[in-house]
Amino acid sequence: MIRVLTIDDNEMIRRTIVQNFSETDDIKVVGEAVSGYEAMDKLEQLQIEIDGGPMTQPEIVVDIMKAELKTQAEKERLLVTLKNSEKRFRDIAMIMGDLEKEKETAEYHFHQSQRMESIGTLAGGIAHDFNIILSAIMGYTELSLDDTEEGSMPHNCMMEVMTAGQAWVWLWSTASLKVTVVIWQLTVPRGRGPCLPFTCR
Amino acid sequence: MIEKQKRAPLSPDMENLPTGNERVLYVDDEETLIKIGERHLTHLGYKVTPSISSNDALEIFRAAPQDFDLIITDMTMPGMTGETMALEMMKIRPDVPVILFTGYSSQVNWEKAIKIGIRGFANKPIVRRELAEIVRRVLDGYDCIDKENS
Repeated sequence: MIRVLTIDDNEMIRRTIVQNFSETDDIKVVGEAVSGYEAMDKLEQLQIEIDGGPMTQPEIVVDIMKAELKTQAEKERLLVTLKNSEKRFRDIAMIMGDLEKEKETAEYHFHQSQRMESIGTLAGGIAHDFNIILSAIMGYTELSLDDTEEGSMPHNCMMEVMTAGQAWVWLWSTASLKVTVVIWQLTVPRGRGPCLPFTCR
Repeated sequence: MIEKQKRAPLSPDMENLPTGNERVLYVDDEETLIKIGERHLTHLGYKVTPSISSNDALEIFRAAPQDFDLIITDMTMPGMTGETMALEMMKIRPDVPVILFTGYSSQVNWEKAIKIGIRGFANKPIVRRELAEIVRRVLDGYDCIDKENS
């Protein structure tokens, strides 16, 4: 007998498999899972129940459920696939659907993290260059201050430059600016409010 | 902690700044920033050897490691980073104090700097008072890591 664990995020597909095979002698659906992670948990439990011993590597039948078993021919095809593989199934066969949602979610998170990383790198690069430019502005202003008379027009003007520079240094040091910049870049172009929960380095 | 010395003729604004006469190797790939640092430190009484390249700086240091009391270096430089250069210098002379200045740094950089034995760490732009104080403190044997700004 082939024991089957069916994995799909679509309940209809899981139902179809259970209905199609639960009464077949050769094949018994022993478990259902909505995601790969859940499948791994289920598998572990099932292994213990079936064998009472250590788990062996299960055979995985991937993506044969795409047709959703609408026709008898497809069911036959699956049966043939499973039966042909029977010798290889020591413990259990997994029938895995597309898991499209899961894949999409994983891909979304992956792209999102890459996006954040590249924005972080970009922001870091800009900040680096900006701070160096500001260093030159503030540095030479400070040196020039030495040769101007306190209270004179040039002195006052240069003090304003220093104050403006210090304001940036303060803003930057609070780190809130870094976060604001990154949130803005992430959310505004996508038409969302700045409410993503994440931390920035 | 910060001693007040009047070794160099200073402008009125600088009178309250800590000074010194130690020998400093100043490394930065930005020529314009080297000039600023050199002038500030010279005004404060220090003897400054500027270097625009980390590779050159390492060779200068290797040739005469006892000729410098302090290394000040930028972090991001072409060729060898300030961090790598500092590590190489500390291999040659483990007790040499190093101050790392950076245009932008992450928490990781800051933690790494402490781990490899960097004595001072600060973010650019650095004004004269900040420079004077961090240099004096590190030369006096204190660590001066600007935790807030990392």
